[in-house]
Amino acid sequence: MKGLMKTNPGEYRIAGEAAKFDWANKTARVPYCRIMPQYREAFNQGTYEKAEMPGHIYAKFQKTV
Amino acid sequence: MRNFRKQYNGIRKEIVTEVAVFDPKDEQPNGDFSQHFFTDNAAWDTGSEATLISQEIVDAFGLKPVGKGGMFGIGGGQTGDLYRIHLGLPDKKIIKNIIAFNGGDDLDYDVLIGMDVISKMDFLITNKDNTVFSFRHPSEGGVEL
Repeated sequence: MKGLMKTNPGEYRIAGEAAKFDWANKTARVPYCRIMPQYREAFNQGTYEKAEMPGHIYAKFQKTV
Repeated sequence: MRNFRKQYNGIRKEIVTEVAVFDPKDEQPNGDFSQHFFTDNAAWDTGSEATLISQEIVDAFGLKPVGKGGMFGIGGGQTGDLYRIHLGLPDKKIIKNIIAFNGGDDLDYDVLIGMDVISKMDFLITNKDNTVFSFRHPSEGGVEL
């Protein structure tokens, strides 16, 4: 379930701030990988050999057994 | 207030909860908001320095970038837009002023919660029979296993 919803008064309350963003560094490590949808079934079955996706969300898998 | 606790069925390979994303521009003087983007598909990722949001959330609010940043993942780097958001956690508490990367259309989750948020709380996962995830904000420390 997702989407824009009306917020009821008092439903959420402000509790604090996130860690200060390091603007000077300008980089962040996001070692997040995913399996491309067309490889998902093969991945689950363990029969995939390689699933690769360019860009900042990147996954590369190699069958080893 | 109670700490947040969620018990999953079985052992999980990922920690996914609900969250609410708020547009800081929508904040009223009394701290209320008129709307939020709710999703039950937010992953908690201690391996990520930053929080990511999907293109759908950016579009839903019409968020304007507050900067650009380099994001380096497994496959290399890319420059992307950064957005300022408030994040409503499952305990209904809002963490303000998160600078979030746009994860684009390819993000498997609507929100990827990174260490910029997790580092502000006590965060615990146990896995006896079932995965149980709990956190409290702000951090009180003192938890030892």
